Amino acid sequence: MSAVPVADPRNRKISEDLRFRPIPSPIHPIDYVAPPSIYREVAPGHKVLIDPVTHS
Amino acid sequence: MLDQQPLVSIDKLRVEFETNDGVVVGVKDISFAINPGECVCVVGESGSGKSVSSLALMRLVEFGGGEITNGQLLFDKGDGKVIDLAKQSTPAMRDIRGNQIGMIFQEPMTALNPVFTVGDQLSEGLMVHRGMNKQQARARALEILQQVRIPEPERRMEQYPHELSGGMRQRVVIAIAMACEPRLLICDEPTTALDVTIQAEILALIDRLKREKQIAVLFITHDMAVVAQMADRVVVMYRGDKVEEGTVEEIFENPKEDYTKMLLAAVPRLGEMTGKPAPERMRLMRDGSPATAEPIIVENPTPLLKVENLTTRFAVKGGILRRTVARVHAVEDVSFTINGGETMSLVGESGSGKSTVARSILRLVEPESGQVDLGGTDILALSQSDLRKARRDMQMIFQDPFASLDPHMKLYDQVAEPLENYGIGTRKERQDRIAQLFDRVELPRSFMRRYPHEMSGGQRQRIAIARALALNPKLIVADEAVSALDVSVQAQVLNLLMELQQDMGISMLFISHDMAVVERVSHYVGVSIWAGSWNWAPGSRCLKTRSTAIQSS
Repeated sequence: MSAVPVADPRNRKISEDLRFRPIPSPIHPIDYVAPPSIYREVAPGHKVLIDPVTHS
Repeated sequence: MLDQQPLVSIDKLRVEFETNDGVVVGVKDISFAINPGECVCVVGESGSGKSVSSLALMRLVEFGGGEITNGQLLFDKGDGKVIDLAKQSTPAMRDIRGNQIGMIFQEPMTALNPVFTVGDQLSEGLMVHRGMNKQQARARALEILQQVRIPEPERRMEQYPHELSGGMRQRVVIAIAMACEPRLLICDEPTTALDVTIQAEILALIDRLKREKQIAVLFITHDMAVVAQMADRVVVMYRGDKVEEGTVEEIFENPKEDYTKMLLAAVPRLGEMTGKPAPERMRLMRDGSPATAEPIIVENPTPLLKVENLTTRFAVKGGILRRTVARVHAVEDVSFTINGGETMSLVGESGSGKSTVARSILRLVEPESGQVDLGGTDILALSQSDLRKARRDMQMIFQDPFASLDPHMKLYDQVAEPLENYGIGTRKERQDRIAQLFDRVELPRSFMRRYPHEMSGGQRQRIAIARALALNPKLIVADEAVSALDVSVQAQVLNLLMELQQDMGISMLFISHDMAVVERVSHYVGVSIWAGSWNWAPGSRCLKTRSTAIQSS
């Protein structure tokens, strides 16, 4: 969300410090088993993925 | 800054095009200047003359059938001489293009030559304009790739454009434009086709180059949020005229002209749907639509599309025997439901699997596992002949209406094709149906005999919508269907889709990288970080709540 430009010239957020986390490569070995997607529900209908690495 | 000698002064520029219907004036006597280290954004709708102005500066407008019939294009060469670009000879302009003036085009794939490596394309300008030998040019090219922060620049030098991602390709285009250290950089919609994270990086890069090298930037865009982030001054154009010019703060906070006010009013802003129970129509620019509209609430919604544990993988072949050596996990374990008459949006970065989810549902690619239930029909279990019948209920609208329409077919035939394919109706009934569809998407019936190239981008997308509606589908998949349209046309097309949804009870799977548009049109949103990593939420809530999905690390 920090990348979305805002139509307000007094709220500029152009910065090269965003340093987005690169998308992990989707290429895996044939025997790779993807971890199951586990979600926590933060509000009715609003499910957020639990990070398989940080468990947060 | 105002005391500086302008780098470029456009004075009473007039550009005309000779057409079969007579002379068309592309730009009418416009004037503005750009100072060193300043970014001037030119905004306006399609056809307002934004790109014609920039092409005139490069004297490329002549290659598109245009002619500069009046005005001066004064350019400070930096050696004490101010020249009129409009009067330069072809060899003189060849020396200026890519050397004194660099240009970044909208679509990096078409701006780059597919049969030359990145290194060759970067070196070319340096050898031609700077007199470097091949070795010197390649060393400088490598340096520029590092400046634009391309990872592994040595390897990229040897790669071809198709081997790079969209963001990296655009960085290469910027690197080529910057190679000879131009004094003016023209950016024509440089981030329109990019998702928000790559857009943010590219904008930051251009801003840094402007500040560090005191480059003057002429930035053309239809995205007012990008204007607010980038511009020092703004020139607003409408039908070839400059209607307003001012500092970015003046234009956004105190616009004088009605057109500027309407342009700003049509911009969807992230957060304006907060607390609203359902999507609402966009504000339109000229029809005086009220700022608010009735929310699109579906009473007692019932599920139409149920996707469960959808997984799509592609084999990576390698070795002499072309065996499968790895797999691309494009979609992993995705589940969601779309109710009848409601919109589910998918957002996320390029490569996160949005389009593959949509194509898997329609079985344009074959999923590996999972379930897709459309109104009680298990789509993944259907035979090819049954799938063909089922596709009557699921239609797709693609991003580029020029590419998705056949340039050799008249618009009537293109809208009629689905009806003919499924043998629906008599010839007369089909004629009536197509006429109704043209009415429905608000296109004159006289357009039926036209070809796609005779239409504007927005009109072409209306035809794509009419074609998608021809079979009365239950589900429409709109894959970046409004991303290439300017703000007013985008609002019209979105309102049309929402009206049709309300009237006909159509469900929509909407794919976009524009978060504000998504917030506006969606009942539910799925945000993807990468394949198999989705967050789901009601539309108005998802984008209000900071999710883990698109935040920076």
